[in-house]
Amino acid sequence: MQHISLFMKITSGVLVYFKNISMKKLTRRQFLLKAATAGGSLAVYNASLALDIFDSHVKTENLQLKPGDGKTQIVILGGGIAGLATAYELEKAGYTCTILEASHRIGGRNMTLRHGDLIDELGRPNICQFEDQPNLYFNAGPARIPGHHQRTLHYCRALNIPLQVKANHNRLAYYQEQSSFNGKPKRQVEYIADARGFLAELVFKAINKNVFEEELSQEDQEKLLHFASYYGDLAKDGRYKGSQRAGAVSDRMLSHGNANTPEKLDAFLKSNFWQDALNHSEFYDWIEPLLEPKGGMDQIVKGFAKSLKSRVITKAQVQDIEVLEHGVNITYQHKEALHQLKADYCFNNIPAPLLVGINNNFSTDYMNAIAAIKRKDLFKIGFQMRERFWEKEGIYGGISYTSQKNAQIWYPSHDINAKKGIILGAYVWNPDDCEYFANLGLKERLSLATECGENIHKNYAQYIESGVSIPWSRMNHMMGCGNAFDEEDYPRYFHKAQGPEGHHFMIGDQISYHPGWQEGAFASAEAALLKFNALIKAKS
Amino acid sequence: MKTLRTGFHLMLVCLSLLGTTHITFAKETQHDKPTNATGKVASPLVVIPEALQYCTVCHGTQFKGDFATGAPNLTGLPDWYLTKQLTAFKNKSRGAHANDLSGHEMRAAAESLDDATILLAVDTITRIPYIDSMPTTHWQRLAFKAAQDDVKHTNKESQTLTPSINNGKKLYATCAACHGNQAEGNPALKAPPLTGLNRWYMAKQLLHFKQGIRGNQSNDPASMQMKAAASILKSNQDIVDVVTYINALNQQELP
Ligand SMILES: Cc1cc2nc3c(=O)[nH]c(=O)nc-3n(C[C@H](O)[C@H](O)[C@H](O)COP(=O)(O)OP(=O)(O)OC[C@H]3O[C@@H](n4cnc5c(N)ncnc54)[C@H](O)[C@@H]3O)c2cc1C
Repeated sequence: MQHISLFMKITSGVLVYFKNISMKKLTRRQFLLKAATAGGSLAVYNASLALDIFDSHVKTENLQLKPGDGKTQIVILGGGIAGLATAYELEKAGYTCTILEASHRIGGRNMTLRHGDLIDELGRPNICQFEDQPNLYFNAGPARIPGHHQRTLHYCRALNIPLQVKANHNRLAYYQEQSSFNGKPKRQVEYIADARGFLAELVFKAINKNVFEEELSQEDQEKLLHFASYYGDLAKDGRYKGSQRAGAVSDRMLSHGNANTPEKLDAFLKSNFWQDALNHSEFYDWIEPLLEPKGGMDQIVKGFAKSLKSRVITKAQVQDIEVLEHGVNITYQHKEALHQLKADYCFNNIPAPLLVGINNNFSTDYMNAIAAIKRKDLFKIGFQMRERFWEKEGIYGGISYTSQKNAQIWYPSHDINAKKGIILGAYVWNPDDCEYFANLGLKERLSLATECGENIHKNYAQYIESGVSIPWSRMNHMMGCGNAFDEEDYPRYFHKAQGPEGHHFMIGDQISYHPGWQEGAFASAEAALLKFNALIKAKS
Repeated sequence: MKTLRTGFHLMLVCLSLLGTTHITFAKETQHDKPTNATGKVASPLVVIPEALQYCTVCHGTQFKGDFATGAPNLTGLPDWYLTKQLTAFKNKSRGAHANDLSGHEMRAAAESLDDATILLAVDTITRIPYIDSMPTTHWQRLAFKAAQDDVKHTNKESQTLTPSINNGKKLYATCAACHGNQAEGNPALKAPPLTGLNRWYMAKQLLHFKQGIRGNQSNDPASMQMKAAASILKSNQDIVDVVTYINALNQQELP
């Protein structure tokens, strides 16, 4: 401990020195050269740390760590996917890792539920009652991957995990709002056609009233008129009178299909449709097409598990983290006994809000930065359905949205036409509603989601065979999900929380600007490994 | 604090006598104090029975508390008070109020405890020597923001108030009648000791008593009495003052 503070003092002295010389606008190269002459390679490392000038452009798939000497011991606290990816990379480079995982299973929030699985909820542990069939699984945590999450997709490639397209946005799925259109579910495509029609009609009118005279030439206004007409499927007179884009009131094959009559604009504006169903697929992380591993998201966890040779100890709850001058000393409880493990380096995947309660000797600044990460919540329900009734309604994959407490219903993109299927019966984001659901008993939660479903699909209740509920704020060893800094805390604490402190590195999606996505978890591991690499190189 | 520490050394001896599994190594548990050779406190970890391990997920290593999960420090609390509160949570006389969010979580956990497990929990916690939680400079924000969220679900930040220890001392005179001059507690009056409680937790509970989130069950007269007593605190400022005073008693910073 004394050594540690001494070490910190020396390095902070060097840092002050480098912060001062860095003011003189040296190039990065000049600066590091100066650092090297003044304090050796460790000083370069510390200076780079302080100024956050690590090679952040190295992609996970090109990560080249300095080969291990076979003696360097690494301990990884928590077997979430960030911990698993860290072990995978370190092992590949020849380091020996031990993973300590508090839960009965590895994977953390990456959790797919099947027949007989334990749902380890605080105070209400229960067993998943789905039938034992390969297609009957439920992604209780992550369920979709956009095409630009290249780190996640890299690991799927590297671990030979077959992917399939997952429909996220489905215009044939419903939007239902209790206070609009008598609570009747409407196909999203009808809303979308109307939304485009109304907007286009307004643009059309504006052009005719010469609103754009100053911005646009006559010719460009002409073009905009065409754009608006096509965008909204307007009639020749520039009015929106409904569109066959939303289907027709009669069969379109044997007769001329007549378009639905559009809603009234004021009624339409009362609806909140634009808030979720219309715009969700506009968000960069939800742009079509999305992907999912065949057979469940936890194929990623299984892929890591298959490839790893590291010792993985489950039901090993970390109790104390002591950062030493050249390593760490970890105390964990396993099978009603305390154990100690000394290692040279430590990567810590434990959710930050839980870490606040775990004994450690972190510096005040480091701990305060970590402690600024706040608990967040999500809630999911999965139902096993005796029949895939939604497919008969023309819905293959995608999401129905509702203003009711259950918020969303997801239809599986996999195993279309199978006899049975698992649908998501609730995906709750609103913190009050998460809390509301979490407070109900297991049965009551399912009943509430069933009632909500009844307002969207006829006879919904009759199809339900069993269900599971997952309140993430009450899942053992997690007690939250998507934990994040407050927006204004990022600049203050993020870099500090990234650390490292001595040989201790924090990882997990919590140590990224993208919590709530596996890509954030992998990115955190990548960033920590790059710093580790620089440190180990500097020390050799 | 002094008494607690002495108790703690005694505990060490008892633990060895009982043959309880524990390991000892030098370790500083207080974050705010810089590490120095003399400041080290040997802290043996008591093995937590498997049936209670999930308690420490929120309450932290050795039940020392975790402000980030909203679970208070339980070390240093007497057995009778722990039993009473665990039973209250189990019987829904605590943690049932719609606006008591962290109370809901504790209630869910307590509902699954049978009497034997409650006994085991109380026995285990009281065998652990008093440990300081990680202190937080944001204790006011934690207490009042959380309490505001509980009531109105707003995210409004409350400003940090400057404590007046003199006002706290004046206010505490009323509290002392039951909780004792040194906040040592009085089992006969069912008044728990307040030394060693987290500031954020005390402030939040005082607000809860004031708002009737706690102390609204007729089968718990002591708690109703506390609700009545909390009405002497007219503002958040009063709460901050009295909590600061009690905390200072604990730190023995006062004569
Ligand atoms: C409902 C939901 C939906 C999501 N949707 C998506 C999605 O569609 N796409 C996507 O990419 N991502 C999604 N995510 C996010 C994704 O699940 C996370 O980003 C990722 O799984 C986080 O991994 P991690 O390793 O950072 O942390 P975690 O998975 O939280 O791992 C932390 C680990 O630490 C362990 N631990 C805790 N305490 C201790 C202790 N004392 N000792 C030892 N171990 C301990 C825990 O048991 C756990 O295994 C979703 C998450 C949720 C919950």
